[in-house]
Order: sequence, then structure tokens, then C-alpha cells
Amino acid sequence: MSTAHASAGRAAAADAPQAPVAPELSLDRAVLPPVIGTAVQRVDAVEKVTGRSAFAGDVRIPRMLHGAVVRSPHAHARIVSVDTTLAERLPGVHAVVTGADTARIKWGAFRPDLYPLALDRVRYVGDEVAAVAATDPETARRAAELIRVEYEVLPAVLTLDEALAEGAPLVHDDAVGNLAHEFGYDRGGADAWFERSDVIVEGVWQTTRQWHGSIETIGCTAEWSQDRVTLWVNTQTPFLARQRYATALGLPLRAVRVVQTEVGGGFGGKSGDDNTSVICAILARKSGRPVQLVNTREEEFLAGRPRIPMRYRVRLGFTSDGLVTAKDIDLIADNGAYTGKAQAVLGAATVRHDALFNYRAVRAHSRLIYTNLVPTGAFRGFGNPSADWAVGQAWDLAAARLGIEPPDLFLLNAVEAGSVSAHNHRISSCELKQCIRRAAEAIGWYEKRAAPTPNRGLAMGVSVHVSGRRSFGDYDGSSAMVRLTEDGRAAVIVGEGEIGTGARTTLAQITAAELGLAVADVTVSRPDTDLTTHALGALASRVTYVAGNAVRRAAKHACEQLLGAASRQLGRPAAELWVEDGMVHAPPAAGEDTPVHVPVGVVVRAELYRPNGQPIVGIGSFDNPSEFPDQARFGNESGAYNFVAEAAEVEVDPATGAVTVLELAAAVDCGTVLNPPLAQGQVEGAIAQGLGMAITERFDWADGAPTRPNFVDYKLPTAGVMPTLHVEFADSYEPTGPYGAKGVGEIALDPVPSIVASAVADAVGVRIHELPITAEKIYWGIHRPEPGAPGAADDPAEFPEQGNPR
Amino acid sequence: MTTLDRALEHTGPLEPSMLLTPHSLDEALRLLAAGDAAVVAGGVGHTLRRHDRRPCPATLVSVGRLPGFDTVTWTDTEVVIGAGVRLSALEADVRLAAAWPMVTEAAGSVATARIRRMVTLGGNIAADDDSHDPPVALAAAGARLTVRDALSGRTLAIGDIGGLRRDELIQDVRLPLTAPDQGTVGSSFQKFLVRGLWEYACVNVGAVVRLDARGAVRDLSLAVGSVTGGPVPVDLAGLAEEAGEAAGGIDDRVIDEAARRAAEQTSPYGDVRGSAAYKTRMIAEFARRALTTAALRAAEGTGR
Repeated sequence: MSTAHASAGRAAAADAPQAPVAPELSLDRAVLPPVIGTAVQRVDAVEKVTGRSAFAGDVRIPRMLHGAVVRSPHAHARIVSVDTTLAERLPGVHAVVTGADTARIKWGAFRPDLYPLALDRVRYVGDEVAAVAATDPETARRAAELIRVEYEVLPAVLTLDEALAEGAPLVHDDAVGNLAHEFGYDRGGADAWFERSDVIVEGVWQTTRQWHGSIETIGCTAEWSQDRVTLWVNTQTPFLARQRYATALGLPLRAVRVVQTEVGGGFGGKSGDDNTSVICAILARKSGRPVQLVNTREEEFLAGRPRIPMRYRVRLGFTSDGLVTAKDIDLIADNGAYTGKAQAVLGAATVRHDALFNYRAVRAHSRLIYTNLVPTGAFRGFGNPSADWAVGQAWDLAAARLGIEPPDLFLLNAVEAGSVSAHNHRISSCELKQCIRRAAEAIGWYEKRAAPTPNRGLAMGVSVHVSGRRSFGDYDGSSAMVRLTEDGRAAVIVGEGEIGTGARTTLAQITAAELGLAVADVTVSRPDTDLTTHALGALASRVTYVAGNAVRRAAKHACEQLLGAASRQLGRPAAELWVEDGMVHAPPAAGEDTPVHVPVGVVVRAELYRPNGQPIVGIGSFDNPSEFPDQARFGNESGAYNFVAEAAEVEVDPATGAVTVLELAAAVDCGTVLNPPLAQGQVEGAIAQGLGMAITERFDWADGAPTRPNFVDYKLPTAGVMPTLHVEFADSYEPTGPYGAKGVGEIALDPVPSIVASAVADAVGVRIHELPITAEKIYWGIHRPEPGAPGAADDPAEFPEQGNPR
Repeated sequence: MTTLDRALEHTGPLEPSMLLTPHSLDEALRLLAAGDAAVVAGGVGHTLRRHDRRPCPATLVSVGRLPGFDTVTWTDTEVVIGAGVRLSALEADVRLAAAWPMVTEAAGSVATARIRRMVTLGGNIAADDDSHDPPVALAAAGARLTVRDALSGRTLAIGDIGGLRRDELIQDVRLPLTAPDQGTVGSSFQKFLVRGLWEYACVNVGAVVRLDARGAVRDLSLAVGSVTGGPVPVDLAGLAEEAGEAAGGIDDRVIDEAARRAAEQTSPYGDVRGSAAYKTRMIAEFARRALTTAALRAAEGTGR
């Protein structure tokens, strides 16, 4: 019998599907500590709502000056001369800098092409030409106005089509055809699968620039001490930004220290790809005094790094019974004048959504194109919302052609745990199908379908996102230290930071859970490249998953040391001890009646206050179990994938084209929800930003720049735009996540533009092909003299009103 | 901080050297007569000018708290609204909402509650901005402005606000009232917003329908804002007569014709809120909506 058992066990193990990533932490999900999954109040709530948090512009250093930047008014020009004489003479001015004061080194995350201050050419309206430091912001600004720059205006490329035209002016002389980056692949043989398809849908969909619209603009305070500069910056990624700033300043890495201030909204916009901090450091060096430089709102629009406009041609094939066969996309993306993160965004925008459905073959050709427009970069979603909008529209068309309701079509094709995409994205936990069912139920899909209301439309979309992404070299890790203090608290030292998402709170929860402490007895550091552990920071929905694991391991390590110390102090085996409510507990010793309780602080102090005593400091690290994708983007970019299904109901006023999103249901698979209100906040905020991208956010453009670069024209969605929301979290557990958690910061934004567009199409039969989905575009779709003219809707140029410059 | 070469050349100072707070209208007018002074009431216009870095006169004369400047006075024939009345007070005025709902609707549609608590009616009109809402309603209502300088006073129509001199101040706004035996008045303000709130209108329209005691149309009025030279009163000559002949009040044909004229007689400009072609369509649409609501209110005889 025993032999049979053993062999059966072995056979079962061999037959079991290979888990894509071996769970490193064995956890029983039934016994999550009480502090996990609890509505713990944010650790920074009180200081934020009472106005005591110190944001970038709140930094005050004795003798500090204020900076102002002179920017190009031209989309493309040669700098003939820069005359700073008048500015230098203005009382209160301490430094004026131009390109001549810089190291003349190009920098950039992936493709170095940006000078800190222009040397001889400006490439977009907003390009930095000179800067001033003065005793107050008004004097600095006035001095900047006194700098005379003589330009020779050059022909500019202000649209993708202009940039791609034969013989187009070059934005950078070394980028032939204005091509900044290009890749492609055919995985699975797309042509053969299209030939075997019964239904093929095709179309062109384009997105537009979207700005982050953070409450706080980008800002920096720089101070030199001999040959080292300290930068207090509201960056999302202090360690990555430091590396690039050092390059831009022509300094060794050791000469730059970055300290994160409070961050008033990141959303990708504070990823350190812009020149503000670099110029601030240059001003501080030349003036010999600390300098603060904070973007105005106009600068944030003119010289931030908005979402990349992308134009997709999408082709999808299906069998007649609704199984997806092949996908082919041709993608061109508007890089703007400099590259920043756009190259990485292009990758995500091309491959990631292939981890949603069981495509038999996928083919893509993606190009990143320079234009003389504001550079683009990272924005919450990182290419996913653009991909999900374009590909989602094709899926919606296919559902109609196939006569299958979108939720049913998605269920037919959705990936599951264990799926592996054509790019080797290996899905561990996956509750996509559960999400689809729950979103359909929450919006009342089938009831609404059974009783349609005129001018109302229904749509569904799905998305997949990463929990961290291996893109900055072959490392997507985090490390942490947990120091137990002599007063019984835990100080978590970690370089990840807080950009408003609540990361410090969830990391405190994880620490508290692991150590048996109250959350109030845990403090989490802010990143300081001199003092904290190295970390990549807040990007790619990675902090909960990657840093959460590192912090958990550090806390576990500290706990082991604590119990070891207590064991020695109490003369009891460590295995008998446990920590709870801030006390080390032991059952009654042999022959005793009362159990033992010793405060954690007492144990820590006793461990230190003895000859050659030791502090208790736990260390831990975690590297995302992922692969560094190759040039053609093959490789499992993350160890865990999060999923969402969203459904929306809209109403269109046919007389104006105005669209009202009535209801939106989001079912999110982010593994274990560590802190429900924080997770819910991430989902709601992401949906709001998605609605901005979908409906309200755009500029008027003239000569390569927004005509009024401020919030008067640029309409962020307000509370009044928000629909009735139904946010649900799937019953899900990620075996490699901290207490089963995955990322949640971005995913809910991704499907929003697509579902709004599909719901509008469902309501009034007008499918919009270029974001944003304005009332005017819908109106002309309804009232066009010859509706349904062949191909008309595929040509964005048909619409008189546009979100992109032209 | 952005400095674009194409920004305005700044000749004057950017900040005033003095803020004066007179205690009476006469004192305020004397200060304005001294020259190189600008009026500040609620402060919103001043804030926007500073943001745009426009040169500032040496002196600012604060009139936001002048005595008697923020009262609403009723007579048998008109309602007199002090120029210092805040838009928030205007939108909450129940009696005015009964007589001229269009005016309280327009006041209540401006920006946000916080901004409406600052903005004065006089300041909103004096800004001479074609997209501002209250002037559209006031133009449709046939309001008159009482304007003063240190020596004398005069009366202006809303459309003549461009002629307001720097030493003049709007003292009050006068709206006509209809005696109960002379029929009923209905009015409506309609504003189309791309986002839905806190923005300048894509189009804004005010409409008035006057019915005689028998319920026949006696007079129609329409004004359109957010167009070149706005608010533009629409010439509806002959339409009231045509409508008055029809039994049973105003019919759709008349409303459609009025809307057609509103679109034909106005020149919207394309901007982030829509192309000129689209706005022309929306002017017709919202003229139709405003007239329809105004006619309904007139027929109900309640004003509202």
C-alpha cells in the first residue's frame, strides 16, 4: 500500500501543470493576520489633511534662491545667440546659466538625446534654453524675461504624418526618418492563422497626449556641499532619477544624493525624465547657494512628459464560433522631441495585452517617431490604455460581427492561471473570468440587454497589467531593513517611497503583521539615496508586490532575531515564543502557572545593553521572478499579472452628441486586497483618469503647442463627470505575492477609453476613432449628411475637431 | 516659470504699489478720476490679470465692500441690483428667481460656488468677456446699466459695456418688471458645457417670452454668448407678431425660426470647446431649448 501511495503521489506531481513561477513563500491563505485586508488608516492621513506635509515647494533652506527657466517659443529653431547681459544686471539675480554652463552631455532613460539646456538647437515649444536664480521667484522670472535669444526658425514636423513624410525635416540628425525606435515580431505565424479565420475585423484607432494633471507640479531644491549635490525632489523614482541626473550633470554617481519630498501626485509624470532637477542643480552650482525650481502649471503642460499619442492599425481574426486566431498590429507612436521612457512604453503597448486572450498568433510592427512636439513618456497604464482602446475596439467590432455578446466572447478566449502568452508572459494567479462575470453582473448586463433604452449603450472591456516590470536592466528588485527600536517599534528603511497611493501604509501593515506590532508602532522611511536601501521606486504597479515581499522578508528576519534574543534572555526555546500586540509571549515555564509576556522594546534594549550587545535589524530583499525581455520583447516581464474587467453604460444626447457615463462596474483581480479603502481609491482614481483620457482632456494647438496650457482649457474630469461606480475585488490569491497581493495602481484605467467608445457605438451607432470622444465628434457622427460612408469613420481627418495638433 | 519669447512685452509694473479702500461710492469715483487706477471688486479678474502677467496700474481701488453697493431693490417697474452683489447672492435670491429665473440661472452657472462667492455682478459685466454668463441673460432681459463717474452718470445697454471708461464704475443693473395685468414673462438661460461644470460655455443663450393677458405671444427675445462680439441680441423682427397670431401660444415653427436666426446672426469661433461649425449647430439647439422653457414658464404664469 505504502509503495502504491508513493508512486501515485509521484505520478500526480509529474502530471500537474507546471506552475509558471515557483511560489517562494509558502503561505496558508486561510490564516491571514487580522491587519491584512483591514481598513487601516493611512499613516500620512493627518499630516496631509492638516497641511503639514512638506511637498517640493515647501522645502526651505537658508540662503535659498529661486529659479526660472527660459524656454523656446519655437517648435524647431537654431539658436543664433543668447544675450544674458540685462538679466545678469538685474538686482537680486545671482546666476544665469545657458548650455555653455552644462556638461554638454545628452541624457535619457533609454536613448540619450536630451541636453540639460539646449546647445544650438531647440526642438519643441518649451525646450529649455537658459535659466536664472534670484532672491525670489518674481525677480527670477523677470530676469528670465530679460534674456534675449535670437533664433533662426527651422521647418518643424508637428504631426506623425509630417514626421514620416518623404524628405521630412529631421528632429535629430542621427535619427533617419525621424525613427527613434522600432521592433517587430511574428509569433505563431499570423498569415496562416488569418487564412484560417472566418471573421476578420480591422480598423485604425488613435490616442492623444494626456497630461498627468497632478495637484503638485514637478519641483526640486538643490544644494551643493563641496563636490556633492543634494536634490530634494518630488520624484517617484529617487534611485533611478539619481542615476540619470548624475549623467546629465557629468558627475560620478557618488556626487549626487536624491531625497524624496512628499509627492503631490505622480502617475508617471514624476519619473525623472525632464530637465527641472538638472537645471536646478546647475543653478545652485553656479550661484553657490541652494536653489529651488518648481514648474508653473504652464511649464508642466509645455515641458512635462505626457502620455504618448499612438496610432494603431489593428487586425483580428476569429473562427465562426468565436475563438480568436490571430492579431496583427501596426503601431506608430509620437515620441515628441526627446525619448525618455517612450521606448519602454512602446514595448508594453505592443505586447502586454497579448496576455489577455489565447491568441494563436500575434504579429506586430511598432515604431517610435520623433516630432517637434512636447516629449512624451510614462503615464499610469504605460501604453496599456492606448492598446486596450485600439485592440478593445476591434474586439467589440468582432463581437458584433460574430453575434456574440462581448462578455461571452471574452469568456471564450480569456487566459487562465497557467497560461503562457506568445511572449512568454507566464500567468500565475488569474481570475480574469471571474472578473468578467462579476462586472457583467454588477452592471446588470443581461437585464439591460433584454430591455434596451434608446440612446443608451453598454460595453465591456478587459485588461492585464504587471506587478513590477523588468525594464531597467536585469533587475526588478527591492530591499529593505527593519530596525526594531528600544521603545518597541519597528522602523522600516526602504527606498521605494510614497507618491500618494498609500504604499507606506501597506508596507507598515505588512511589517506589523509579520512582527505582531500595531501599525501605529511602525514607521516607514522616505527614500534617501544616502540612507535607505536601493529601490526602483513607484512604477509599473510594483511597490506592493516587489517591495511588499522585500519588507516582509526583512520583518521576518527581524522577528527571528527578536525571538532569538528573547530565547536567550528568558532561557526558553525560540520555538515556544511568539510576538503579539507588541509583546513577546511564552507559555508558562515548567512548574509555573503564569505565562510570560515581555514587551518587544524590553527585549530589544536588553539585547543591546550588554557587553558587545547587538541591535536588531532585519534585512530582506526580493527580485521579481521575471525575465528581462529581449530586443523583440520576448520574455516574462513580471512575476505576477493583475486583471480587470470593466463594464459601462452611457447615454448620448443625440442633439448635442454629449455623452454621460451613467454606470461603471469594475471587477479587479489584484490578489489579496491588503487595505480595501486604499485599493478602492486606486481603482476609482484610475477610472477618473481613464474618463479624462476618454472624454474630457484635450488642448487646442497652434504652431506646435497648446494655445492655453492650463486647466481652463485642459479639462480634468471632476466629481460631476463620475458615474455610479461598482468596484469589486475578485476572490484571488497570488502565491508569490506578499500575503497573496499583486499590484493595483494602474489596471483600472486601462479599459476605460475603450468601454466608453464601445458604449457610445452601442448607443447611437457612432464609433469614434480618435480620442478624446468629444460631444462634437459624436454629433458629426450622428448628423453627418452621408452617415456610414465607407471608410469615413476610419479616417480621423474626417473630424473637424481633434485632440492632436495638426 | 515659463517665459516664452512670444509672451507680451511688459512695459508697466506687474504689481500695484497701492490698494485703496474707499468708504463711499463718491470717494471711489474720485480716486478713479485721479488716473492710473483700476477697480478691484471680488478680485477674480485681478487674479487672472496677474496670472497672465499683464501690466498693472499703480493703484487698485477696492469697491467690493462699498456701502449700499450690494443691495437688491424692488419697485413696481424694475428691480435694481447693486453692482457689488456677489453671484452667489444673486443665484440664491428667491424673489429674483421668480421674476427673472434666467438671471439667477446664469449667475448660478458661473464657475464654482467658491468663485461665485467672490465674483460681483458688476465685475463680471465690466470684464467685457463674450463668454460670461450673466451678461447673456441680462442682454436677453433688456437690462440697463447705471454707470457713474465722479461728476455724472449715464445709462448703458449690456452690449455697450465696451464703452465703459477707466474712471467709470457700474453702480447697478436694472431689470424691467411686468405689471401683473400686462401678461406674463417667462425666461430661461441655457448653457452647454463640454465637461459639465466649471468651464466656459461652448454656447450660452438667454431667452425671454412675453405673453399678453390672453396668453398670446407679445414679445420674444434671445441673446447669444460665447460668440464674436457677444452677447449678441438676435434680431427676431416679425416673429412675435407671427407667433401672436397663432392660437395656443408659441409653436415649434416659430421656435425653429428663432433658433435658425440665432445661428445665422452669430459668429462663433472654434476653440477647445468645439469648432465654429459645431457651435453654430449648438446655438440653434440651445436657443430652441431656452425658448421652449421660457415659453413654458410664461404660459404657467409663474415666471419660473
